[in-house]
Amino acid sequence: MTDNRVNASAPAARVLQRLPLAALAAILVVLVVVPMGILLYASFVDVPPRPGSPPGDFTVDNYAALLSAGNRAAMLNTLVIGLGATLFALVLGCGLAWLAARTDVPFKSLVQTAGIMPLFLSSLVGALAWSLLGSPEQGYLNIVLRDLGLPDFVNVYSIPGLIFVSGVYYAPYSFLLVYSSLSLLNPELEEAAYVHGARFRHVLGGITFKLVTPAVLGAATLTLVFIMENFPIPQVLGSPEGIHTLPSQIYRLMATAPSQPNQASAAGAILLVITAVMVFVQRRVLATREFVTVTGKGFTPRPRELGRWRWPAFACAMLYVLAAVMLPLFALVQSAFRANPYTTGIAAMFRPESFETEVMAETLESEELQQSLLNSIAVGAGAAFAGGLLYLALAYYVHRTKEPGRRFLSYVAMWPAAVPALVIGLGFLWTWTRFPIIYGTLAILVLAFVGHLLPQGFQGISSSLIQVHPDLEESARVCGAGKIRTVWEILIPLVRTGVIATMLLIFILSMRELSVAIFLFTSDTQVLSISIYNAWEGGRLPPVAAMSLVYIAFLFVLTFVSRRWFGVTNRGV
Amino acid sequence: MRSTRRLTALTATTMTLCLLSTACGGGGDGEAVQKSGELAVDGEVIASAELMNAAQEEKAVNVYTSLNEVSNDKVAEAFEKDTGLTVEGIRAPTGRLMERIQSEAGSGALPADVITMPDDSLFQILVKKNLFTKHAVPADKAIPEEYKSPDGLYYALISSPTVIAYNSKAIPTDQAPKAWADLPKAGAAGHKIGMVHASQGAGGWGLALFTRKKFGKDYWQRLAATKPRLESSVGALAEKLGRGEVAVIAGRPPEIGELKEQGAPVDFVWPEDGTPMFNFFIGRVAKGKHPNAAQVYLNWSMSKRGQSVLATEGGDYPVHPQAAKPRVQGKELPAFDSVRPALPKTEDWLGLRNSWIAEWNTVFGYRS
Repeated sequence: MTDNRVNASAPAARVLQRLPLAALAAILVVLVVVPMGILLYASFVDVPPRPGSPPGDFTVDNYAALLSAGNRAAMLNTLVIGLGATLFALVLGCGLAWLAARTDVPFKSLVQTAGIMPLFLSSLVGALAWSLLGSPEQGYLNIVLRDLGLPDFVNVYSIPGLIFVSGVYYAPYSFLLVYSSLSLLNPELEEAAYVHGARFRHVLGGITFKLVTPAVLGAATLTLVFIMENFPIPQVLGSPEGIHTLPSQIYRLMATAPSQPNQASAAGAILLVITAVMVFVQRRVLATREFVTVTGKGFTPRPRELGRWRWPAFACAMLYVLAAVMLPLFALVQSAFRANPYTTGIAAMFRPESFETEVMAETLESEELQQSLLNSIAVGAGAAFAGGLLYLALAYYVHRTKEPGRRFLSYVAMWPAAVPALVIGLGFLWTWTRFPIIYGTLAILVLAFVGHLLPQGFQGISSSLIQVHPDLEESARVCGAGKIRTVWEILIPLVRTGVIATMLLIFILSMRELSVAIFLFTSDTQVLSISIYNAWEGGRLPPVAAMSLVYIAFLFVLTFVSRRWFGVTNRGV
Repeated sequence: MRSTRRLTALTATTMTLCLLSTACGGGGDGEAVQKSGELAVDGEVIASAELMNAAQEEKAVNVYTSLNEVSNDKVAEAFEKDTGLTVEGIRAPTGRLMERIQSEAGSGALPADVITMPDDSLFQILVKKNLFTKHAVPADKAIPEEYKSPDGLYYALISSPTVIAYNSKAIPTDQAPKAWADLPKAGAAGHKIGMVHASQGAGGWGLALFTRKKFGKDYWQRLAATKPRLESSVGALAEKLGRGEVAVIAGRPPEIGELKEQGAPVDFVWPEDGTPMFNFFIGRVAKGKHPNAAQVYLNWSMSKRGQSVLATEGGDYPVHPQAAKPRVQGKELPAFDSVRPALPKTEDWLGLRNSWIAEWNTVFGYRS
């Protein structure tokens, strides 16, 4: 009897067992595979895959066009800027994370905040602010240098300039991923090394950062992909001087009339291949070692004493804040509150009669700002919650189960990182216009953002999950707890910092996102980043600066309040 | 748990606020709607009482436009004030707008009732897709024939001029170029020139076409040799002129006027060798959801009243001969014929476009 019952329920059990995979796969197909499939299809035909268009003929001309001299230079620039800025961002992000999580640096919470502060500025706002600060003729820094009798050498309209600005604004990604890991790191191994006479630099390089290799490699991969895929920075700082990257070329192909989406798709496909290779290499490296650092054993973390380097280390962190936040804020305040856009010298920057509050007052009162801010909040919150749930479910399935399809899902989750946001927006436009219930509403933006930000979300939560040893959950199961209770009471509290940091990141990134929304907004669903971009395109710098300041203030408050709310305080020592 | 509830409550409140804010709006009484129900301004009847009544029932009109943001906002504001109808839709640069129109129209879900864009060639693409329907506005007889499409499907809305603008702190006024022919010389003398890519839109292509026709390919090469700063929008270019980052640009009078009013040391000249002009066009979508409001919008835009708003608020030349003269920061611009307008021939605009833009990209190192 018993055997028969088991046999009868076996198919049903198998179906139930496959249900999570089917659900996750279906979501990924809708959010990732279909837009990506359209991208790849578009890159091999001669007609854009718009609804109602003929299927088009097969061609490789779109790829052949990418081999032209101009496009080869753009590809090279993309790699040079990507690698240079990733290295710079990793040094900044990992350095700050280590200081905040593992040392006795003064004002630790300030250093911790410094690591994520640039998130308050989107890369568009950062690039615009740095174009005011570091443009070769009349950049504020050059005006100051000239007035002081020094050579005016600053020029962000250059490859080093692009590397600098990209590195500065992508360092928080490294910080967030690495900080979370460092704060969970059991210091026993480090202490053992010190007991055996190891020097500080050997411990740092040979133990500390080796233990957080998954997070560092994850951060490196993501940062590299995001920088190579970034559009606003090369568009604002590179294009005017003829320094193009693949995304700025893609934008040109899309912004010219008539647009050339097939060639743009081919460029997107090339970036996809590059990312696929990087993700593969990253996985091969991680697969060879074990990186569990959180176990059932308790630990009392002890800070690394920096001695005479305490204050210089703090000064370095503040120098980063100066470059990433304070100077850009100064430039934006100058633009938002100055009557005259032309600046003759240092004195003119601070002359009281130069200032006016009219533009700021108009901006604050404008219905457009209020409406678009509300839209941004709604979309950000929607993407953070919907995305947070999806990313957690996905990461749990991949890292905590032995079910089939895990490797495939984790690969698919990384794909959107490679696709330029503009092309993802197009993919959604081509796919979703047939569904008017979704298309033209805020929901389409939430869906597009959840899909676009999947790599960040998945990677962020995965890094935390990988570090928690399954022993703890297995102990709970042995003691009689069910699967759901084990996840809710054991796993979630342990990875809470990582999950919340990720959701916060998704909220902020969604609020800042421009390129995905550019083909999907309507007058009712216009988000703040679109309002800023439109005003910039119209050359109206004072309102751009005023809106950016409101934007920054909002993101600052949001991040600060959220950290307190969820108890995301300094987990480091 | 408590914090989760709080956040859920915050999100719900935010969502509700958003829904409330987006649900607001709708039609009301327009100031130009007469007691008879007609829409009329200064004796010019723009819409019959019957049409106006039907439009008011639709409450709103959805406009897809690539007019610059300032002009577009002023036009929408004046239209809403006159008619009581609400203007919805999308304002985006021409390339992006065109992509959306084609994608949405392909799936039969184009929300637009009216489309306003520059560039004949793009309107021709949409005409071939049977997107527009014929509509003769009440002011039709007053509009010169060259501003009407032969098939009656669309009108030219305005003519937009491209002028030479300069920053007097970056280049002394007496050295500032007075003609397009002087531009390469100014660049060669070390003054940074700024311009919009030829492939960026009607303004960029219009200037490239004009200079190539007037001076030959050699002109492009001499200008490219000065390594001009190439921007993707004339607005971004004007902003750099205001700060003195570039000395001379090919720009538009409204942006320069605004900078001047802010106190920037900028000015512009009507080039001695001709002012390149390009037209914006307007057409009514055949399958729009607000057909009556769309007719009112088109009628109003082409009326003396609508054309005067476009001219005085947007600084572009109206196509209605009796409309007000264009103004920039309160100052009237010279008469259309006195600025040596150079409107391109349609066959040149359409026929030379692809090959010459490809050449331009090569000469200026802006290859695809």
